[in-house]
Amino acid sequence: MTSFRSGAKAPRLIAMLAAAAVLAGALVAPALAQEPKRGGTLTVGLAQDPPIVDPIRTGSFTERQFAVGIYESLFDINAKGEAVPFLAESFTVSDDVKTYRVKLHANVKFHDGTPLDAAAVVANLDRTRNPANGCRCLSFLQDVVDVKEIDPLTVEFVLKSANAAFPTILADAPGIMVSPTAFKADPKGIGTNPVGTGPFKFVEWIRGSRFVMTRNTDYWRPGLPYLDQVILRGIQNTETLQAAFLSGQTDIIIQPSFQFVAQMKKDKKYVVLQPGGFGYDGVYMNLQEPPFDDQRVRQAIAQSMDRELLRKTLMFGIPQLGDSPFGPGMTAVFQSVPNYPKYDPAKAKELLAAYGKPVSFTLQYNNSPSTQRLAQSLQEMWGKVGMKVDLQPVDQNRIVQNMSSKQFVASLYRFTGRADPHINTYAFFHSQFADVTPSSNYGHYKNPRIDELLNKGVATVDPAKRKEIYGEVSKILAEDLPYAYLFYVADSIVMTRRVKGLAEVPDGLVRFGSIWLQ
Amino acid sequence: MLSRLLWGIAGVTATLLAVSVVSFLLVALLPGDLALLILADAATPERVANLRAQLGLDQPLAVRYLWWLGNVLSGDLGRGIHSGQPTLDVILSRLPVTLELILLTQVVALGVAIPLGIWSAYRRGSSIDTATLIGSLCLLSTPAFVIGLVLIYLFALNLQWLPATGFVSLGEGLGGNLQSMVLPVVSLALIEVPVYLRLLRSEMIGTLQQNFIALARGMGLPTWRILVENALRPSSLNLITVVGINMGRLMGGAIIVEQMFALPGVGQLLVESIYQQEYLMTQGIVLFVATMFIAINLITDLVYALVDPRLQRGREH
Repeated sequence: MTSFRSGAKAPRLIAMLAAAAVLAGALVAPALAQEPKRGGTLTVGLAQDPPIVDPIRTGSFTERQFAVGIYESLFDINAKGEAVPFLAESFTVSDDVKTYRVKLHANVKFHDGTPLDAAAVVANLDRTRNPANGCRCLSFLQDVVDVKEIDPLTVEFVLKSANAAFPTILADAPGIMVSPTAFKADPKGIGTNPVGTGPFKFVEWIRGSRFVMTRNTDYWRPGLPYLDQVILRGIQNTETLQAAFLSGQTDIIIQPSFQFVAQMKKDKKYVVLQPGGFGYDGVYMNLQEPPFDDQRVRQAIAQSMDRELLRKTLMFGIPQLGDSPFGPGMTAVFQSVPNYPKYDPAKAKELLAAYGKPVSFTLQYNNSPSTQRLAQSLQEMWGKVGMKVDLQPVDQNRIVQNMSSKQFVASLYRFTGRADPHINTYAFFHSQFADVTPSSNYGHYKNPRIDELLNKGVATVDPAKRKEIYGEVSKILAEDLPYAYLFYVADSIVMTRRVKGLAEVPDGLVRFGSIWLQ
Repeated sequence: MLSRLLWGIAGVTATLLAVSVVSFLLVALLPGDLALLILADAATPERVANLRAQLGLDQPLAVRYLWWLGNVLSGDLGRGIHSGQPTLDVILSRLPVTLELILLTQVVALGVAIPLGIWSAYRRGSSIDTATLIGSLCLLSTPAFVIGLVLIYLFALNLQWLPATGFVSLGEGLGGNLQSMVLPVVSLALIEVPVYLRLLRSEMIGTLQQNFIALARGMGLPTWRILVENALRPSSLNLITVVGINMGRLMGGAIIVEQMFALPGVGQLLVESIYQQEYLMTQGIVLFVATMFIAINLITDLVYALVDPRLQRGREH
């Protein structure tokens, strides 16, 4: 039995952050210690006004960001990209990694007064696990056999098989706690009238315009939040979103374009945050279709892409080059992959000559202008070493379907990633999904050694051992090359200088509890 | 008048049926599987099959159309995939913003175009006439989104006089509401002004050469009364038609302008629905807007007949 407690509780964490900030300031100029100030309204610009805010229907990043503030989860992701207890105070895991016992903080209440106790957790899990509710998180929950109340503040999760990634799952949609009183009273209405435990309470939602939250005076973390009000504004048009920010109508802009980020970095009036990120962008290849049934062609694909050039030009120097399925935000696992193929067009030509047949294929990509430019650049780079590439732009929704039903030869695709290496690999590379449709092993990739490592990784809790296991996974993937990586996913946050106390977390989500305005 | 109305209604019914077929096919024939889309990464073959049956996707196209048409006729445009809210309710909740935008645009456009049009017809060839001609050509050849961006750049970013976004509803105060509507309305109206102005001008020039105008002049009526009372009405028939048809055209303009200024209207809802893959919502909006367009055309026809009594007699022979 291994036992864990929440590493640093929020106020202590903030004190540490503040101390760090002061220390950093002291190096530059004699800085005054900054006491967080109370009050004020924070307005946040986002790329979309989602249809509903409900963990069971939460898919996109913006949908998740809308939920933050009102909803909290049993675990949360910390600055190092680890899943740590949050609404949970501590947890223990059995030696076979199949049973998790989660102890809750006492005195946490939902905004409608319902206590967050073991019964509430069980009710939430019953809701998310019920296939009729169609939770997007169902695939995460398939292994959960039972959720039991041990005492009023302790819940036990029993899993079918060992899963060291379970804390990360409980930091995602399945761990988000919705007031059982509210969702039982109105199962549909909860999506537009959210009731959670978070630092802010829902006030109103003017569709297509603004989502308003006000300070939760009974919040369980002492002293928080600092702000009186938070307004989220989903603005679909990029130019408008940016104009609203530049004209001072919003204080933060989340997930702006790389071009805008590059421009804002040069402007002293604004602060740009670039948390590490968990996911990756890349060229996905179908290993059942020629020419990609031959490893040499896949390697030629990887070695003929001048990624550094793409990074500097099309990507405005923002993201890092990707070598593995584990983004730099996952500090416990992230490591360089020395054997990942370097840019070497001469070597690529050699490989293609060894392959012997002419190489031509069709590349699918989503039809956004930025992806279009990327696809065209790649077409040219591959053309230089003698590959003939046809481009096929399709809409995002079609590409998702084509990928999961495996109707593609090559495709530009991305996985936004989660905080645990298991989630970033198992469904994508384990051979048990290779010939299953729909599944996320898009390219029919099979390698018994990878299966073995993935099975071992999911059952291992010790971070050092996991780092080793997933390091080897990266190494093998760099040889087999089912995907040729381009960049790690980089979500930026741009804000004005008056926004303080924003904790940078690799998942890119902005937590409002600790933010204050100068 | 009655037969005109009846013919009108028959024509409208046929058009509406055609619209319903098109907006149904628009969504039904889209590549990809709606069930797979809704389930996304939670899709398993059984779940997909179940949902397909539940949505009626396993039925033949014609059956699905009739089933859908039946629902539409009873006022049920379907429900949002994500939110579960009735499509019609959502559209109606967004409609006031779009209507306000379109009506204000028409008022502003006519308010500028009518005096300028009358004046440039009366002073044909004058420097004002030439200036409006050049101005009209420039505006006509500029799309609304360019005007919108320029307005945002000038008035919201540089001068900071008016907000670029942030709709304030009428219920929250008239002043704030109008302030948030200025830039969107101006960027739409600036494109309509030249159309109205040129149309009115050319009609007016014809009217001013008629005998009854010469008679009015001979009677010594002041110029402004001749222009406004005698010449404007007979010159405005085509203008009325164009203003009517433009209600529908402005719907299209509203989609772009609402996006640009983040106004929560029907146009923005349409774009949102497409992005969020809310197919039933998209279908519902297309049908709704087309129906509105047709209804406005019918009303324009009727108003036209009221303004010009000759038309009524013409049909009743």
